[in-house]
Amino acid sequence: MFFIVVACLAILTSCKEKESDRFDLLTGHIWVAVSLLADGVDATGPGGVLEGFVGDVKFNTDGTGYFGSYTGTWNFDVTETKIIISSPSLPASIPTNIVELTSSSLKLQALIPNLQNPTGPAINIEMAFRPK
Amino acid sequence: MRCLILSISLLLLCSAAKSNENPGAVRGKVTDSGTGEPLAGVYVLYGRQLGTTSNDDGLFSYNTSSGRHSVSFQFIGYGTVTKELNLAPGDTVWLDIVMEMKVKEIGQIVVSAGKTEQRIAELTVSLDIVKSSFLSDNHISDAQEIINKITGIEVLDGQASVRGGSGFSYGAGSRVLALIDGLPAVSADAGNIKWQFLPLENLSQIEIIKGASSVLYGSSALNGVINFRTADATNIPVTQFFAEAGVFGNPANRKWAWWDTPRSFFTTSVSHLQKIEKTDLGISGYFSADEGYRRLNGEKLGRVTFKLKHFDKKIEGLTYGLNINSGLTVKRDFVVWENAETGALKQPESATAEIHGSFIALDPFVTLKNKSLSKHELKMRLQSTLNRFPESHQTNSDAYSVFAEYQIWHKLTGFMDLTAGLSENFSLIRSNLYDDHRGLNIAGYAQLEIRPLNRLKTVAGVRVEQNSLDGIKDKTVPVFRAGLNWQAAEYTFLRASFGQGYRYPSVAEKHASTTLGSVIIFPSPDILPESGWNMETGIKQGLSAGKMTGQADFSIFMSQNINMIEYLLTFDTIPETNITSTGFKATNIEQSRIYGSELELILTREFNQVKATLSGGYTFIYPVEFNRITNKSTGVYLKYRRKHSGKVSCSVSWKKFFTEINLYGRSKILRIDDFFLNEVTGEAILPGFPEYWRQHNTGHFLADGTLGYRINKNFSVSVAVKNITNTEYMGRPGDIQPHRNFSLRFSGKI
Repeated sequence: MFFIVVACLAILTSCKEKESDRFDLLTGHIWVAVSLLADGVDATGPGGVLEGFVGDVKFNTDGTGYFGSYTGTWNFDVTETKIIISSPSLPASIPTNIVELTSSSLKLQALIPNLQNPTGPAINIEMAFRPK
Repeated sequence: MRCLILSISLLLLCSAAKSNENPGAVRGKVTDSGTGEPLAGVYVLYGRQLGTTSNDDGLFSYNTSSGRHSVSFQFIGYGTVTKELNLAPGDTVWLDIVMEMKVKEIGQIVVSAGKTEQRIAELTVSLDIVKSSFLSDNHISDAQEIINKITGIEVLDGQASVRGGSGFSYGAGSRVLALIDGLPAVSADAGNIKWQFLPLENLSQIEIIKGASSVLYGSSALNGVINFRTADATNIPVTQFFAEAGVFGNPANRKWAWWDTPRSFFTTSVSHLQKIEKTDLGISGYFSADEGYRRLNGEKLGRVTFKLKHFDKKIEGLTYGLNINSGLTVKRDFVVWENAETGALKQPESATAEIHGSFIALDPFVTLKNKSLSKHELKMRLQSTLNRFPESHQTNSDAYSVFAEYQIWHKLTGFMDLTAGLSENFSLIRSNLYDDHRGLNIAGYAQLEIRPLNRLKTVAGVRVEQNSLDGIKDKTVPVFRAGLNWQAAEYTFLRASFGQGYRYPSVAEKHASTTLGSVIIFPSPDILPESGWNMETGIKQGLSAGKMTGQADFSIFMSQNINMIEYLLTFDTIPETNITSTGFKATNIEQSRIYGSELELILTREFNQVKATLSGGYTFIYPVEFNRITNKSTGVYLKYRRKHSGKVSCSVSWKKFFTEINLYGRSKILRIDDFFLNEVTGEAILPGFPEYWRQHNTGHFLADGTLGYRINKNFSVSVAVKNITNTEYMGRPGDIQPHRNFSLRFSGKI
């Protein structure tokens, strides 16, 4: 009996988690950039910090994706309030805060270091996307 | 289950009915034909499904009806003995049963899998054994090196991964728990294994459990357990020693050779075991001086161990004692190379600092054994691990811990045993690197082992554990395990098991906050524990044909873990300065799923004056991330894993000569951190690495060999060549492994 109780408890504690709305919303579209701002200014021009994010963005259900010109992987953090974007073409993984995620809008925000002034304030980047 | 209960009830009823007749008795003793030692736990089967087992002294007895009947004696690894009896009413018959070991490989005794002595073939989980002779025959005096050579295990820069269950997380935290005689031997601050302080000089055997073992051993045993069992004194005093000296040759890439004179190493050790009346005594010492094949990567290491075990004269079964393990090291770790072109075996002075490390563990214990009915154990470990950096005091760290465990094993009935225990582990960390912290882990566990039939064993266990750090309690964690083992034929054993595991983040992962040169480590105080499970099914087949014996073991397994912690190179804000920068941060990012299979084989044959052993293993894993939301595997490979790894060993001794050849093969690493491949960050951290990786991440084959000569019964001399083919290969990025090296060892056993 003890064996059965232990087996049942083990199975119960290993059960699949519930489906996530945020996951479906994020992976359900190809997104296209509406605005890519660095400290409130468009950063998509030549040499701009967000130049590489111009284009389509797709978060695939298998954890891979493309983010403008970058190809790599993405993960939610454990609270699903951040998306961590990684790519061999990026110098480091970018943890972005999810500001808004609906069926019609995706807004992300992050702080990245200012390489021109490493001890100064960070650059605040804001990226807004809509379904393609 | 109903059938099982019915069978048990019938067994009990039959036993009662038979014993009521009480017309005759059979008593006797079972001994080993080779050693003459009594055999405990032998199944004594008589009548229809009636049976008993021999006790610790090999004695057995049962009552049965008069007349003719047969009784058979069965024991794992031994040939079955059957006797025909003709019992007269009221008679008592004495039997002296001598059993012969047929397949010693499946009869080996281990303790790690259930915290009690068991034969390896009757386990419900995969367990590998490494005998101390393998270390001496192959000139191995580094615990990391021996573990890295076991089928299905890879050690990347000090971090062990069993069957791909772990990647590489820059030295912080271990998913495999190291034990010395069943007591945890990981540092309280970084939670890593201090390999250099594990006492190989007085070793009986190493037992490795492959898979989650948190029910018995708690946090850190998420991916497996490595138990270093020290040797006990025997009736004849034994003194063993060796002295070894060696040199490194030139690397395959001659541009990397940076030395003027060959790099050398020297190692020596001595150990003595002796019984003095009711007291077992053991003492050992070890010293090594390794110049290192890489610049600024040498080490001087010393260890002293002491074992004292006293058998009480007045109270039978009462033993108590004290074990001490201690060590000192002065070394420099290899962190990054200078460049791939000419400086892969050199590191810049700015990247490394001299470490003065010390380790001491005092292990008092008391055991009370009531024949074969119960056993009480109280064990403690008082441990201190100090890391001092004379050139950079800001990274000093002192970690102290007090571990205590009470365990009871009780034979509830003839077919049911209970193992239960309580443990606590208090840790105190004083560190500039991590700040000061106090941690407490409290746990209780119970495991039931039921043998409803003489060939079937089932195991089920539960553990409840709570961690707290600086007074803040984490949620209470229950973990479970269950397994069964069925002896399908005389030498055939089928097993299946399920086990859960979890790992509480180390203080280093939560609180390390520093700037090491240009590298920033961000603290991650909100990081969550890792958790997971693994299941396995396997078959172990004993092999016996003429003078050849052996075993084959095949298993298939699957494991799944969530919230696995990795150090990400990312952007974050330094708490002290509020400056956003690029650095490493421990992050719960990996959800891992691993499918795999493993085959291991050992064959031994003795003829004339030749003893030959052939052994080997092959492990295949498919390690991928899975999506917690869809519950589907993603196809994205886990970092720092390989699909294929294998090993073949052949040892032969003839007259006074002995030789051993070991071949190892590993396929390429499937994936590494993206930043190593980025042309900007990869080049900045490891100059030349991205291009080197593209050309050289192809997998590798290695060969080691030893040739020795026994001068007389006490002394021997041997030569070993490691990495005979001078293969150039890498562990974690930037960590080029040793090229060809030669050593000469003089050994003695008196």
